[in-house]
Amino acid sequence: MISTTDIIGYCQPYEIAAQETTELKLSSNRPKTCSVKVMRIVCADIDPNGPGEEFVEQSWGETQNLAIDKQEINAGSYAIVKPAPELTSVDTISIKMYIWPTKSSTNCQVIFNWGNVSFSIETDGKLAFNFGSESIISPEPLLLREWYEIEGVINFKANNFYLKNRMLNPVVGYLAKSKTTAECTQTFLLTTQHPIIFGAKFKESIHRREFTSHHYNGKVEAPKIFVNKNKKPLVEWDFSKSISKASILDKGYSKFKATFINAPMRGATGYKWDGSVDSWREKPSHYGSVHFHEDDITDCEWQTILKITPPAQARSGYYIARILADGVQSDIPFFITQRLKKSKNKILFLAPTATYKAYANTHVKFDSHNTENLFEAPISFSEDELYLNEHRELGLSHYDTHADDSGVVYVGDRRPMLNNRPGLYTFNYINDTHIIKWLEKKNYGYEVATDEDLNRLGHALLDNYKVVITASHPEYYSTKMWDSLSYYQQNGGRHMYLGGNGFYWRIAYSDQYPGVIEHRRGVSGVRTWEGEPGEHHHSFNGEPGGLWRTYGRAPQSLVGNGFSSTMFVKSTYFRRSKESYGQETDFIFKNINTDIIGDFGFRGGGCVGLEIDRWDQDLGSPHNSIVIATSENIGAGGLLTGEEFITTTRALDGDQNSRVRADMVFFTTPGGGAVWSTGTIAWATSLLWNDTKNSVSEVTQNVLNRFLENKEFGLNE
Amino acid sequence: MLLYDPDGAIYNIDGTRMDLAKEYRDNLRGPFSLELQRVLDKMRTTPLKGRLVLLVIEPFKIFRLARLSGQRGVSPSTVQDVRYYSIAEAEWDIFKRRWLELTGISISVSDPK
Repeated sequence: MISTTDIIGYCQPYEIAAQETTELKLSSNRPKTCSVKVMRIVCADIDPNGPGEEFVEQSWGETQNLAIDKQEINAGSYAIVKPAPELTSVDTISIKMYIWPTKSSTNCQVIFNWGNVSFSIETDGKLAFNFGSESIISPEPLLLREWYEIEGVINFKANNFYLKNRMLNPVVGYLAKSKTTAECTQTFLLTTQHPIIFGAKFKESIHRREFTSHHYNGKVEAPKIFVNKNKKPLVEWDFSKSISKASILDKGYSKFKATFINAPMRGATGYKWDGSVDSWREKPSHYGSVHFHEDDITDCEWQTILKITPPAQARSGYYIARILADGVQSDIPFFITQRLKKSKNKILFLAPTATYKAYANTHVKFDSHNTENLFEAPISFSEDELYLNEHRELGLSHYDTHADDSGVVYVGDRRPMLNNRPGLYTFNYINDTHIIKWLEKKNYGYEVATDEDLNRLGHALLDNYKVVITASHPEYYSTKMWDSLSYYQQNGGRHMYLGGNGFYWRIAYSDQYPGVIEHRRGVSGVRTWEGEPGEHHHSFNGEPGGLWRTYGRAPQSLVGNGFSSTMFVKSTYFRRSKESYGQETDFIFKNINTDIIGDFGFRGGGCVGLEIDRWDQDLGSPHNSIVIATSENIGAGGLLTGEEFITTTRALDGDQNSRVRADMVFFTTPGGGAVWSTGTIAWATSLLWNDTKNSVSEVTQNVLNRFLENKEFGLNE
Repeated sequence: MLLYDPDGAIYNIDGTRMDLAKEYRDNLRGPFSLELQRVLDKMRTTPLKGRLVLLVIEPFKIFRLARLSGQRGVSPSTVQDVRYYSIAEAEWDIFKRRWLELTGISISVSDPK
């Protein structure tokens, strides 16, 4: 057996242009050397009964005999203050803060650590204040998801120390407050040369990089450190400030910066939150906490093994660094994007890298109770998936919950992403390469750019192209991405949306956390977890998260159709509508002598499948949009998404509910542009059926050929 | 915050309904009668701990039966050395095993030819 996980890695950056450099980071569990080949992906689907995998080996980037070793991942978020204040001689030191623990653990969890002083939650759930080798323990375990004010004081003159804790909302039957004092049996000096850490225990510094352990799950708010009898704190941090930043200065002297590592959640409700607002921008003081998790990771910070610099003539596209070693073949994905570089090609394919990140390393098959029911078949696990389960330090996806059951709101690309590469996980990444292979087989010249480009460069990225193609499932969109695509459409652009459930969730990018996206789930939509009350606004920019639909931008308003249903059991076909025979849309079905389109395909045997979208003028489908085909025979396997029904009813499946359907939509736009939306993920995975000799391919080709013409679209078409 | 209820599936399967077992054997991918759909919904929403799953031994060719640990980070444990050479074979066998576990009655319907 060839292993895909004995060597794993990532490219940083994930998305580069030709002549830029990406750094290959590898970690080996066994081999000591490896070789690297760079390959452009034409089709990443390795299924022998699929459309045929295809890779183009590049003449550049090949390297032999690279030395590799195991590289560690310091997962778990924390805040670090380095340098910390210097204390020479003090009579007393007092440390205060508010905490909201979220997980009991078989490991000790350190909330605060400065040299030989710390607060921790012990394995029995009790709070400890630790000084040197001595500890004071609270009389009762802390209750999870309850706010406590805690204080630890050391009196060096009296040679004693004490721990106070107070429950902010006392519960009958539990100790509301306690104070425990103890003599110091040994003499300790305060060792403050180490950094101050919130959310973990300081372990060591190696090459100026800190390693931590004993990570805490829960919130911390308003930490203050007092010395002697001073009423003014020596140092304090107000986490309700600079919520969008990756670091925060202390409140007093503005000298001691707390830097957030691995993105603990900001914009988190604090002990003052009373439900009067749901956005940190309205009342920052109600959002004074930081939520730490033992399994946060935004950057593995591995050493670079090889620098890869594509030459100027390298084509834009999906790429892998294929790592080969004794018994190992492991693919590390990256993108070469065209960005704003001029091209003779008139087609731009937008690789939905935000969606790839959102799903990266998903653990739902292991952790989510409803996964088998969603897919309606026994769950099977590949080597990559088993590895991900055992190695939680590789980080989670937007579909996962943290170890404390809270949802994952930040995901990044500076880590191995084992399901965004050739393999057995076909959703999104591999399905999208069906479109790439189709473009190549049909000899269309095209370029590739990414979501990150669109977010950074805006509509300028799109303006030079006659046609923009979005992929099988471009689900996660930032405001800038949405506005840019909308601008392109409204100014003569031609957009082909070859997927389903697109433009669904709102995300945010941040220059503070390169390669990371943020998404707050909210309380609607098909979700594997529910957002926490009051925490539905992105910390990166203050915008509300959740569904675009909630904020007046249902996908219908952008592309004519929007998400209606999942249908993972089997796929079906489209029937051409009477309206499609009009002069405006007849070109789409040129030379096609049947009204049934796509009763075949590589996913479930049809072109309507997996996730599907429907037309609805009430939700914003443009007044001039035309439904040119609608699905038939979806059956009981099609299930309506939650936001599509208002009161509970049994009639929610494709046998009973008309909203469980896919509508293919076409409309023209100002400036001679047009939009064609398939509204089904399985469209993309039917293009290559029968070596492209099929109606799905022909329809797509008819649209693309017309979209490439200079002739403007308009009412007199 | 709403969490999953591992014991949320409360439907009771009538273990004597061999007609439902036969219906499933003859048409693994549905559509199903309402009663059989309820049986499948129950089977697919049992607690994660101990749920029967498949491990890919050789992609697209060989699968091995296993049970989820229900604990993050803990691998599934294999069930004896039960191997399948198609997903359809696995689906039918897992159905039979779950029927027995949930009802205490073995399926007397013969395997597909």
